[in-house]
Amino acid sequence: MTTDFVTPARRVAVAVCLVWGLVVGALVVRTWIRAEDALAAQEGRSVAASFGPDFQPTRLPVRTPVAAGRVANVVRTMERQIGPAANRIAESERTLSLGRLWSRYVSVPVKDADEWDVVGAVVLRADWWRGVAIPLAVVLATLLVAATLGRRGVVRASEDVSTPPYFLVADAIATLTVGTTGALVLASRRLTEAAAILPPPSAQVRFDPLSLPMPGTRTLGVLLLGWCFAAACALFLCAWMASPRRSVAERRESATAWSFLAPSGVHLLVFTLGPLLFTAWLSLHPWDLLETSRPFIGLTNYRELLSDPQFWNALRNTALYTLYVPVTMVLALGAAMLLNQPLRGMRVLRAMVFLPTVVSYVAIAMVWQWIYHADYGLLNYLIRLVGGTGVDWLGNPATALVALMIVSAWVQLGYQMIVYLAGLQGIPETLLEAARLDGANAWHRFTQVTWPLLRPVSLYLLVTGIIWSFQVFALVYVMTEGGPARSTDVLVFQIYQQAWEFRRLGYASALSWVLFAILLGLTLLQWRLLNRKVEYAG
Amino acid sequence: MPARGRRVGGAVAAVAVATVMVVPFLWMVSTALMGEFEVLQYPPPMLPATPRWANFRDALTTLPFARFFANSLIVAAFTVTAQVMAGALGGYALARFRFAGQRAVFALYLGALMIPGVVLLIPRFLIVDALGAVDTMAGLVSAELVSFWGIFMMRQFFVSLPRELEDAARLDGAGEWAVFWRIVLPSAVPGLATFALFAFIDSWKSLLWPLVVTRSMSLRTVEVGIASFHGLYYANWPYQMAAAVTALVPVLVVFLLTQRHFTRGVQLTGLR
Repeated sequence: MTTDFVTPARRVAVAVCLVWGLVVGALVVRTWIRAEDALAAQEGRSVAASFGPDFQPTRLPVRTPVAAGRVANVVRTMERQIGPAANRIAESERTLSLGRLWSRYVSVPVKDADEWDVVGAVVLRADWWRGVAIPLAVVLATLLVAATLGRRGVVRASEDVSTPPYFLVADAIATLTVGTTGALVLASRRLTEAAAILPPPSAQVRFDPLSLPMPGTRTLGVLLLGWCFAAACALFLCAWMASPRRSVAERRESATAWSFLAPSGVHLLVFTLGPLLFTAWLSLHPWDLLETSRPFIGLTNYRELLSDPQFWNALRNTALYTLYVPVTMVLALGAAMLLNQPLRGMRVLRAMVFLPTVVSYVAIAMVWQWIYHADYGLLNYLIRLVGGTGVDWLGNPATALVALMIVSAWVQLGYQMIVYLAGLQGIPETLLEAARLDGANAWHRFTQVTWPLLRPVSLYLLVTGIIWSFQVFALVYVMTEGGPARSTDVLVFQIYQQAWEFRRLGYASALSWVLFAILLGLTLLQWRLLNRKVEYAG
Repeated sequence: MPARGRRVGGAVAAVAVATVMVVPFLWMVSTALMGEFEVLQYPPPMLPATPRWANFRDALTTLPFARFFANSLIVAAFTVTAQVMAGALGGYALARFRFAGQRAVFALYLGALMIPGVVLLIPRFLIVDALGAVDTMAGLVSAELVSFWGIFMMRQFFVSLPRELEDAARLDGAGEWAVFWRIVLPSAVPGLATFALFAFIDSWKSLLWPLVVTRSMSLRTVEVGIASFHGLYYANWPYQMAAAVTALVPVLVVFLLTQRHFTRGVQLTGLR
């Protein structure tokens, strides 16, 4: 019956539709590119107009990402000279020129030697597909609607502009989604407001780390990739040779298994094992931005690290931070027992408790920052309601880490609750019933039956929780940036800062290895405690 | 009746716990609908005087959020597909085959599970840079194409599946690939779906790698996008909350639609 559905006529119809779609798509792409060209020219003209009639701005359409490296000097001086307060505006200017959705052009003003006057603009042009591939789908979908719209209103509204109708359609879509003019007006208003308010320390727009080029990594990276593939081959050969003489069937099974494992295996080598060794290698070299020679320096990075009070501070903070794990476990066990009751609607309640686990850390960090607000935050309001005094949770070095721990507990509670729930449901009812018949009260049943049986679960949660908490980053990055007074500076944030803000990749790699060693120790400890043997397939 | 009283008490306590857990979300939504200066009052207003839906429009048009969402979706599509495929293949191989180098592979994969992504951040960046893929979609996606956690999850799943059907197909002369595609994959759909959900959530939540590997506005994901929005509009809480709410919606929808799978997934992997 279903075969009747795919008749030759239908196939032809589908083919025609496809071809039509492709042709229209190509047309849209072409007109889109032209429209963008026109817009870029217009942008250049308006820059020129603001500097008087006889001024000619430099316009250098260059391709990214190569271009970004080439003009990085320009961009860098621009970033350097305006200072943190105006940096907000610089970032937003970039936003503005990118405000047109999927814009293929970015214009960056070029300053003169004393970095005061704008003498021109550099226009960066992205690869064409990057600007077009994604909107194409949207455009194709909206095309029909937009074309009708365009015929009715948009064309008439701007008769004086001699642009192709597709451009108007494109602009209409861009306006619909981003609102070019609206966004411009709104953004400039916002900018004025933002400039008027003195930004608190953590409000600074972050220094864009990638605007600086990373020198001399190409050849090395290629070598590394080569090494990875060589290692893969060697590994495979070793496995092959080491195995005793096998029958044809066994050999065939091996070949099949390896072909099934190939995708993950290659990724393992290129993105996990290779990098791990590469980190070790990096940590033995002074891989900095300014230094172009990178001699072997042995353990100097590690020695520096051990004598760096900031490292010890970060380690201490991370260790303190992990304390939230056992606290959360107690809460989670309580919640699991509450939510294990055979009542209607329990599923909904469990979902509510589990919810924080799935949502994004950045959003969580933002809402908690608001809840922690010293003057208008919800938490301080509640504290004052019951007669306490408000605390500047994130602004006070004494409480900032605790505040982060509270958020983490809130996030992790749902996950631990679900795991405990599984553990609770795995306890045979007969055991509890027997205890009840023996006259044990609820507390005794818990301490004598439930808790001992849950011990493996608790251990698992404790160790994995600690391993996870050693890797905390997003909360710190958004909420405190390691402050105030480095009281929330944790190891991963240190790694990020050393590598991407100070560009000390060698030192950051040493830090990474220290973190790895700690985590490895914890994992081995976990296996030991859980006394679980690795079971092999079979 | 004390038993009844205890049951009611338990139910009330359960509801209370769940309510406390969602308070931050409600607070987020409420703030998102208030005026910029309406929120700066003491005592804080619980609900907006008049809901300002325009906050969402204004907040979302200051940065190209539509683009951020498209990027996040593209990244999620790539990573979820790749992770599920690699996970199914690898998990099946580990669960069913006996092959040369099996111990080594098992140990290596388990080892990969222990290595935190943070440690690999710098070299991964350098490798992606060497491939010329920094600040491209390929670079953004490349690091997360395989999840070793997922491979082990799928292995557990395949171990729990009966193998009679596969053996029957083998006796009928089907090759290993045919067995995998025709027999194993269709019966593994529940496991694959659970894994895909986790992969989607993880991909949506990931911040550090996209932050490091992209530089242009047009390649930012939602997470990086709202993080930079947060830096720009620090003082405007309703805008921030509006952006945060918007970022939450896709994950929230996915979670509410598939909540059962999550519980099962956690239990499948949490208690191996």
